[in-house]
Amino acid sequence: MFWRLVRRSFWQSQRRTRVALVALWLAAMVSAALLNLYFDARQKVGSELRRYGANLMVTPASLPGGSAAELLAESLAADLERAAEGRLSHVLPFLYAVAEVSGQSVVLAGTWLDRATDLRAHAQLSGEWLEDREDRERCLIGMAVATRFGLEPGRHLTVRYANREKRLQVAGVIRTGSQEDNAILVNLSAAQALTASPEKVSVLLARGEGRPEVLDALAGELTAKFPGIVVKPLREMAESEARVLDRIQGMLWGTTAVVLLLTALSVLTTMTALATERRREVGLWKALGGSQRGIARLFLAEAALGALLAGIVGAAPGIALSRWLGQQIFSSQVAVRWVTLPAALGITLGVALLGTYVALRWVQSLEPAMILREN
Amino acid sequence: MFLRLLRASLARGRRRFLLALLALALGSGVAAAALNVALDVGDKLARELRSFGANILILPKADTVPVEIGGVDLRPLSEGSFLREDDLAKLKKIFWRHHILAMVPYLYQRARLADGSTAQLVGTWFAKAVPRDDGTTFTTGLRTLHPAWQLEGHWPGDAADAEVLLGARLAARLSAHSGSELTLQLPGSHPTRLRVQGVVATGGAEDDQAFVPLAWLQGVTGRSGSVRRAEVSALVSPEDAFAQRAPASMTPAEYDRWYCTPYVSSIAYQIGEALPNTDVRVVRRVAQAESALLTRIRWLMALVSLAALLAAALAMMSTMRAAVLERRREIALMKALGAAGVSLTGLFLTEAALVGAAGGIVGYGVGRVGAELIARTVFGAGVAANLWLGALVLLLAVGVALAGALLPLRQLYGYDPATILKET
Repeated sequence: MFWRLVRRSFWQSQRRTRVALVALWLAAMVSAALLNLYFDARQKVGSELRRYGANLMVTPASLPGGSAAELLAESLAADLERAAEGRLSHVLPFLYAVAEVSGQSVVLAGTWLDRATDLRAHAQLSGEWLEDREDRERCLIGMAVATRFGLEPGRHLTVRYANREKRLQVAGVIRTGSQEDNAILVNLSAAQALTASPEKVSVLLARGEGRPEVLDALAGELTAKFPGIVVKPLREMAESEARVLDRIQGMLWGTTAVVLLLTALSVLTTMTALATERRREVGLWKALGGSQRGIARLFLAEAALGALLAGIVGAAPGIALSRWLGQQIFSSQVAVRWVTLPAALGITLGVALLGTYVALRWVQSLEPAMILREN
Repeated sequence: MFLRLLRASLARGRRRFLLALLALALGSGVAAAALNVALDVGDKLARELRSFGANILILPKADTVPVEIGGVDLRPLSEGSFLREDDLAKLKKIFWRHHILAMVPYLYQRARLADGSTAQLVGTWFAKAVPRDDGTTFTTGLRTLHPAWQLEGHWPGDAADAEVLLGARLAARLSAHSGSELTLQLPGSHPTRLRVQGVVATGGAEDDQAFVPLAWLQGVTGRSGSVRRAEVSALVSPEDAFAQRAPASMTPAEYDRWYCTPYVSSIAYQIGEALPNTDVRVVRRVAQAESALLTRIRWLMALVSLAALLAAALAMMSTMRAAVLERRREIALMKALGAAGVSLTGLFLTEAALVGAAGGIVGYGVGRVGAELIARTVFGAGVAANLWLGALVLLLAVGVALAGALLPLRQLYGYDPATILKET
């Protein structure tokens, strides 16, 4: 009997509750999309922030204060990456020296040019990049160096350090707008050979994952594990990153909350109107001895049915929407997390029941006799 | 007649009117708050991204190659060319002057410490008041360029006093702290004593440097008015394909559009115009990362605003729909008495527009308060009022109220009034 009533009244009122159903459907879709996006947003924006560069720096424990700076072992790059167990990426060693070209001081920077993907991505290059780590005969030069010495790709230059000399061919000219513009970039092994410091590097830069506290802990752990080095988070970078990420996440939460609130409002008004319209029905039910709870159950069951229907129809496209949005916003795939499906359904149900409950409270305050007499 | 009907209808249906007004105000209020925050967050995030460092670098033209490691120029002061410190004020005269958030000059000098080691001195502005054309001043320096720097102690002043801000590792090595004194010797001069004002830890190359007032360093090195370089932090729009074209290849109309958009390239170009004989470089790493992020954030904002607007429109529509359907008997009666469809529609739509306008105005007020509350709790800062947002919300409320009323009205006209009247 109860279910027959629910079914009949649901289909009869369907036309009038259409707007509320659309709102519920929208709520299901938006909450599913944003929840699904939420999990990935941090990581995706984080990978975008990575373009700003490294957030960890490794230097020798004793300070490179004077000219006789101590150096690190090149093997440390691999050791650190292993010890960090996946929490560290893009570890790059750098060896700096102030060399001479035609009697003028120029910074010579040695690194693994084949792995310097970050530098390569933002540098404007004319000529070609050095793809082979063992290439010791060629170099990349910064734009300022090229202008100063009138060099272009294919030409040669001679670099002097202490009493050693090395003739290098210019493979490419790069422009980054920062210190690389003033330097000669070579492979690490070439720089080590010229400065006679085999297997040595001046500094390591790396990228760690996680919040500033996590980075602090990782840096502390690695500093303790490897004697003679200091691992330090580049604090400004790490903290700005965390702030940007927190804000973006907060905004996704906020939007979901706003959409749900508005949906509850539209359910509330629709249900109030529906209940008002059917108050004769309600009055009759009450006059015939029907209980308050019976009416409440009828209305709530109706709302739940609508919410489930809207939720099922809305959540699936919501997840599809989040994938599309992920593609648009982050240009990469967003993983589907199935937990968002029941979550979105539950939220939609909750919002519908809440709206209906508030509407019922209002209608139930009416006296049956008054309603019936009204006409 | 029309006005009397309208007045009577509004007066008699006061409860209904208030309910619709409440729903519309709440709907447009929440939408206004969400939009206000979303718009402002975009701006806040853009400023947040500026804390990743300067995006424009100014160097003297016709210079020798800077010998630069860890952001510090190691050349002795006898070598290379310099910028004029006074010229930096011209940056606040360019077209996009309001987008210049900070500009910081640098002068570098190595000094010998008491223990025989050396330290890199960086002469710079901390919070210098630069005069502007309109008589006001613009405060800029390391403090505005690096708002996230945490320091123990105080920032040094910008007068030519012997004060210093030490990098954390340098301070640890010298066991110096704020309040202690530091003795150092510059090449070719007597030992000087500096007062340590503060210690800063950034984790980067700054930890090994000593920051001193520019005026002091210029005085002791005899380089008054000269700086090696300047860093500029400018608030920019994300770069697109258009922004990357060479200005020389543009038509006059395109050139105007490019010039009047705050792309990092056009701001750099304008700085070059204001400071001849300089080499203005865009720091590509920062500019590109910033541009990519800003594009993504814009998409996210659009999505958020759209979702909020859609939900608000639906909520308001359901209210209007309910309000009209509630009066179906009334409408049927009027129609049965021979009222023309047009005048009936006019009456109801005027009512809807009135409710919509009132709801929109109240909603905007509610939204402003809401946005302020959200921004204060989430971001710890207020939001700027946005007048065109008010207009948008008002338009939305009226539009949605009209649409919400029109749809069920049309439906009702389709029915025979007799059926509706007989219904009860």
